Amino acid sequence: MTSRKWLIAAVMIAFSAAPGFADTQTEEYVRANANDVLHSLNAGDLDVDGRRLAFQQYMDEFTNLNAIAKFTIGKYSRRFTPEELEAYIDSFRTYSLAVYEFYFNEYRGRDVEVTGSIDRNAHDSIVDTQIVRADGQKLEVRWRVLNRGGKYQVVDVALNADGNLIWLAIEQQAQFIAILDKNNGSADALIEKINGMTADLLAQRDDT
Amino acid sequence: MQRWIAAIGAALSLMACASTNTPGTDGVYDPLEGWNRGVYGFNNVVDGAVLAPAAHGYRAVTNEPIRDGVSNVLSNLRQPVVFANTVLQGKPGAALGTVGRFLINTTFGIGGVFDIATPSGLPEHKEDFGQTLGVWGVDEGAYLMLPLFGPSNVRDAFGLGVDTALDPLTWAKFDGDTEVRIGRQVVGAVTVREELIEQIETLRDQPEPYIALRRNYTQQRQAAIRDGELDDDPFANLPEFDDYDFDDENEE
Repeated sequence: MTSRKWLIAAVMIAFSAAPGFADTQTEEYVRANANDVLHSLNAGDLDVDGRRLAFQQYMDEFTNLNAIAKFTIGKYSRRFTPEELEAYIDSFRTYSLAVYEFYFNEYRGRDVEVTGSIDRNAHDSIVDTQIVRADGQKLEVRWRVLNRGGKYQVVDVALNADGNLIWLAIEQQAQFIAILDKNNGSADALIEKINGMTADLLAQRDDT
Repeated sequence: MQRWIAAIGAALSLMACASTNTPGTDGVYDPLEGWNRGVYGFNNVVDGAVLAPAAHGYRAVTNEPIRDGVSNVLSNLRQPVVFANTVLQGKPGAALGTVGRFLINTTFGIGGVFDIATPSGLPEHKEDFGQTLGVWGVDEGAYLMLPLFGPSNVRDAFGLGVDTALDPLTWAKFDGDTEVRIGRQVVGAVTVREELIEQIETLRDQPEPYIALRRNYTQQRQAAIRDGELDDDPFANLPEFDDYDFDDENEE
């Protein structure tokens, strides 16, 4: 092989390998926003309500809760009436924000470090991060980021439990669809269930 | 002997059924869901009446070093079964490590109370015959909820029986052997339940705990068969969001 062919081959190999890694913008998007979210829960210059509002605004910017809400009910997202869908999405948003606040609270103020990434395709990436808790315990979190027209948004989060990746939206979808299947697709039954869980979470919330 | 053959035949036929049937919408094959949900309800009643209070009481009257010691002894007693399964899975390093671990913890660890082996570079391997069958390529079969034992599947339930048969304590004859075997089961159940207090609370906070447990158990077992390693391509089968999302953004 001539040296020119070697060069072409090397460039081709380099480019064929490149799509395996998410671009640095995607990684930076996750790093910056995840840090903003965790630091918002620890903002010393805000009171509890202020911190909560900042957290919710960051989460709204960082994630696509409407898309996640529709994804978690699968086929029922097309079967609900527009009014049912709107009521469900409202209920889901409140619940999701309460869930994320509850679990992220353990990591508030901590730094999120990007450890790697991979592209599923040009618009769908997984960014691996690590968060170290105050007691030294490390949490591996993977963020699924979609890029639509240059706008990045997180649509799912995975935790690694001994080699088992638990994707939160996928788990919720399995459970929500089971509830809907059991209740003849009743939006009211699901909304009632979600509102009950939200109330439980709010009752356990740490308001310090 | 004939009953064993019949049981093995029934198990194999359920496994065969699994390979020809489509899993449920959540990816787990659960043709006995009605029965399983009944057993799940029964287990919850037993748990609420007996196991959970015992586990909370155990935590209240013991400190962590004591609980670690009890857990270590129980783990040490399992090592012969772990050894057999590492051999059956063709893992000589893990097999030798398990023998070394058993010898060190039984002697220097005073009957297994202290886990000296782990800091000495001999970590615990968690292997059972259900995993061995998985390594051999046997399908998990139908999901099963076993009375008192909890979540399982045909392969793991069969494996549980084989592990019991492989355990020297099952066959050992000595004064008070029956009492020791029963005591080990009771202490083991309370110890495991105590270790799972937080996880079970989290499970019960889920929208549909039965589905959450079914999925989690199945995925954890698949991960255990891979020895805790991620799948070769863990992101290959992720669902697409395009059907659900960005409609509003695209319309803008």
